[in-house]
Amino acid sequence: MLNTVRTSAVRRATYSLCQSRLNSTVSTAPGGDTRLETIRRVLFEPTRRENVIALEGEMLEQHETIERAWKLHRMRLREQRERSLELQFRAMNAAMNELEKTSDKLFKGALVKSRHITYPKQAKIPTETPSTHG
Amino acid sequence: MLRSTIINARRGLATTASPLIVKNNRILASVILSRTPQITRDATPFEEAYFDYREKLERQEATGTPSEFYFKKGSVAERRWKHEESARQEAMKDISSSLSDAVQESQVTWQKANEGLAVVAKAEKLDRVTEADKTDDKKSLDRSLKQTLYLVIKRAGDNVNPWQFPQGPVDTTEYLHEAAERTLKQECGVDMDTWFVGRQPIGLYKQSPTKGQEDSGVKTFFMKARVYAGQVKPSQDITDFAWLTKEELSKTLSPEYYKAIKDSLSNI
Repeated sequence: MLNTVRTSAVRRATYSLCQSRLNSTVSTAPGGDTRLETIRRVLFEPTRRENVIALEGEMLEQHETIERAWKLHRMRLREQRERSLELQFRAMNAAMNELEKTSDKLFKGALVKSRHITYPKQAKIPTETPSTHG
Repeated sequence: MLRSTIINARRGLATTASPLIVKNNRILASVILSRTPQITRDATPFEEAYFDYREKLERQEATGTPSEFYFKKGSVAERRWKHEESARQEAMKDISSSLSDAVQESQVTWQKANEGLAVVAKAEKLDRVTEADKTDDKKSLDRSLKQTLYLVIKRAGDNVNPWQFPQGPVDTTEYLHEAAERTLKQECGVDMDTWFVGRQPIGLYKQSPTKGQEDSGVKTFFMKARVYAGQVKPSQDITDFAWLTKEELSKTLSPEYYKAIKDSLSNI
């Protein structure tokens, strides 16, 4: 009996508090009220777009040269990687051809795919600094 | 009668596996055990300059961060952020300094100025140059983390190729990858966490039989494997071992041997 009275009183009290807080944000009074304004601004205000740099006149050439140099650099890296992979493949191809000529049993054994193809969990990609666990 | 057949059968299973010889060529299985690069490569000066260029361009176009949202007014974090922001703005005008460098420098000056304040727990970052790099310990797996390391062993008997990848004869009963695994265990111990990449060989080294002698030719098939932990425990036949990068291999291995396998090795 007493409990229900207390909870309902609490509920009425919080409701009135909320109302008063909401009412007070209409005015731009300093203190805790500006927090809601900040939150609203961050969430809802559309981002300003006038900062987009118009494609410059003479500077445009410089920008395009830089971009072209970058793409060239990436292309060279990619081709280097692909060449190395191609060499690896050729070596493997030659080895398999030789194996086929030497022994039929070994060749067939090499072609069979394992039933449970697993990849080790310990294989990690390179990080910026070495692992602390050694 | 039954017992004798059983005994015979058991003896049959336990036949000594004889090394495989096909058309007067001994077949050997060898293992190229590699440790992949553990850290990323350094950025070239052009790459660094380009990253800086893009960063500054983005900053010019971006809307400012609402610091009142992220930081409590007048707090230590806000002061620190303002300090970094002023450093970034200075760096925007300066061609030689990049934004991230400026931030790092400002952090250093901040630490010096505010030693009394509570420091936020920083993640521990190890140096990219390890101890093994400094001492040039060729047996360590922590050396030259930017490149792949390959295991080579030194065999006492062989004079043509003293340094070679671990190799051993293939038996008549087994396949190539099984022979390679067995060879690795026998020659380098079981203390390493290894993984064999599939069953196919990645390379081949042929030695033709020396004419006029009874020697047979040798065909060595190389299998690819990766090592993730542990260290080599060399067996009796092996006098020395080392973990070398591809350039070091080109200097250590005999020219013909290196020529046979260099295409299978990765360039990183």
